[in-house]
Amino acid sequence: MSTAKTTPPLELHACLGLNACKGHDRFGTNTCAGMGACATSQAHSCHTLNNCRGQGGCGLYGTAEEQNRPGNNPCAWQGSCAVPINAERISTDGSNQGRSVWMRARAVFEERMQQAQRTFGEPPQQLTTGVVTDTTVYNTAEGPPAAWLDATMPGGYTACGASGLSGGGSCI
Amino acid sequence: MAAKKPFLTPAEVTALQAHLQTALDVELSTVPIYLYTYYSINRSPSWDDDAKAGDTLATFANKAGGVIMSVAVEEMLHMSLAANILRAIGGKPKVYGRSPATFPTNLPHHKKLGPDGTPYSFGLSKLSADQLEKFLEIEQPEQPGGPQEGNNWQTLGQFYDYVTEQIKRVNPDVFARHAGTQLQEASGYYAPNNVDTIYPKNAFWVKKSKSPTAAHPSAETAKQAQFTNNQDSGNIRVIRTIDDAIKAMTIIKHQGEGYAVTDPRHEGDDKQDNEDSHWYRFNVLHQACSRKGSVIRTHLDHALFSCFVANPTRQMWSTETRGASDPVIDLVNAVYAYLLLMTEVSYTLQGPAQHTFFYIGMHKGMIFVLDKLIGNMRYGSSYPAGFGSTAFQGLAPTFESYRFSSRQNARSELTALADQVHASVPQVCDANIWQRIHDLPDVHVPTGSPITFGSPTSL
Repeated sequence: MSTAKTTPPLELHACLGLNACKGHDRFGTNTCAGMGACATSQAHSCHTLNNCRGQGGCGLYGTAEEQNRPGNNPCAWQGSCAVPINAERISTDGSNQGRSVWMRARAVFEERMQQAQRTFGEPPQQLTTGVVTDTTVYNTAEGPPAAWLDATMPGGYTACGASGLSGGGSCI
Repeated sequence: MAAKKPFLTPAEVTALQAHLQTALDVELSTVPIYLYTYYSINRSPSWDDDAKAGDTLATFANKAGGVIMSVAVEEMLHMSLAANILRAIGGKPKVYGRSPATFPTNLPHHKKLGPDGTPYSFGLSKLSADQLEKFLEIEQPEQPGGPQEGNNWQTLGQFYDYVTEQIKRVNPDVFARHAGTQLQEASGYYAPNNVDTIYPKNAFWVKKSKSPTAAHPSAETAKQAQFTNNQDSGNIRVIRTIDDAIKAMTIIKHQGEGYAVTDPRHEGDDKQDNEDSHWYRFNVLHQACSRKGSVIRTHLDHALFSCFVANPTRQMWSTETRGASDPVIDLVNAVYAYLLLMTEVSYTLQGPAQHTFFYIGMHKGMIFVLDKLIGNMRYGSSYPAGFGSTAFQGLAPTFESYRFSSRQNARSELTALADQVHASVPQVCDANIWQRIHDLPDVHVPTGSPITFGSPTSL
């Protein structure tokens, strides 16, 4: 895939498929809302480290309420977990407990777009890393796999917690 | 019909406040004991990775970690519930300086001698069958018909029965006066589960590379995840009535020793029997640890950090490292003391100020400062050459009492320690942890002042 940045990201969001505008993903190349390949907000590994509204992930720590609105936190430090949201991650608390965090984030995003009467597209279903030696086609239909994030993010990807059940490694 | 007992006199209310402070102290005393054992565990040990035995050990280690953390989380809830009741009847919860100053220790106002005539003594120790026996003593269920005991209590259940009976005699008018400065419900102060309280069915799954082409990657995680705490087993509640207080006491008692005093297994902590009591959880771990000839019993040390000796002290580490460890140990103890200070101050705040202070301050402090500092200090590789003796393999926390010179100076003294450790042992207090310590709110809160943090963009 091309990683040439064509549009500076104006909207900072938490993950693949959660962008509200054209050209607002990490690579600046997406053609429509909801079709971005990755987060534009500052990557972070854990709860309360989001810089601003809508920039937090979810699922590993945090309250039931926070975990029910991944990517749509109301304020700085009220995001519930690491960004970007890897596909393996499940919510640990709340009504989404035991289910995909990214899928919940996408549902919250779609609801927000519908309320704003905006059209949006399907998220990328498959991605490659752009690394010449890596011919893997990653399935991103339910969010970006940790392996794809690790290969494409500067410094790699880490999510938090000690149990290893983040799917994105461990920070302790 | 028996005559209704009179309301407690002011002197009796004062005595009840002291009992509720004891309840808070008891719950708080268990936290460092449980946390120390928790941090002694490497939840992803690499011993004998390719063999079934290695997988058995790793699975047990990860489960033990999840179970112990799940209990520690509920002990923190119990402390908050006791504090809310105390606040409801006009008391001021004291938290700073109430954790045991040194170890081993008995629990506050606990009977001195156990059934076998030996003194009750609870210490900081790595995970072992012996330590789990101590955990079982802490959570020991009361016998059916056990007498209520306000002091010199045999089991926590008997102590809480006594406190509950006293609560029933408080004038109900007292309860509505102090709701605002209790820790508020529906504020997210207590989440039953997080990524540290859960554990995988099989540790090998955690280590295995995940398929980049899996159709439903989260479903694979969900199949593995074991949730220790239930979402409906009890949560923080504001105490506005006697009934609220009784329900809170019931949550504390049942989560610890089980729902039914008459159930010899003491398994479920609620009517639905869908969350295990603390005693039952520890008993399951104890059985696994003590089975003769088992892989877990024989090889448990391979899943533990070797620096987790029994009841370490600042002095002991100082001798081993010729004083180099002092700032590290001081920082960890100061962070722990600061968490207690933040908790205590939260009971003087209301609304958004309390939420910002307790939830974000405490959460950042507990999970992103204390957890990460202890996580890092366990590795000998975190320290510069010559830090300790040639056998030095890292530091374990001591959880000794740390006193700031004053509340006004507490934050600056804490950040000065962070600066020192960040400069001398940056792999223990790395830039992230250092910044998070600097972001903690000031516990010296002049009346009416806004609660401020560092700039989020600095994270």
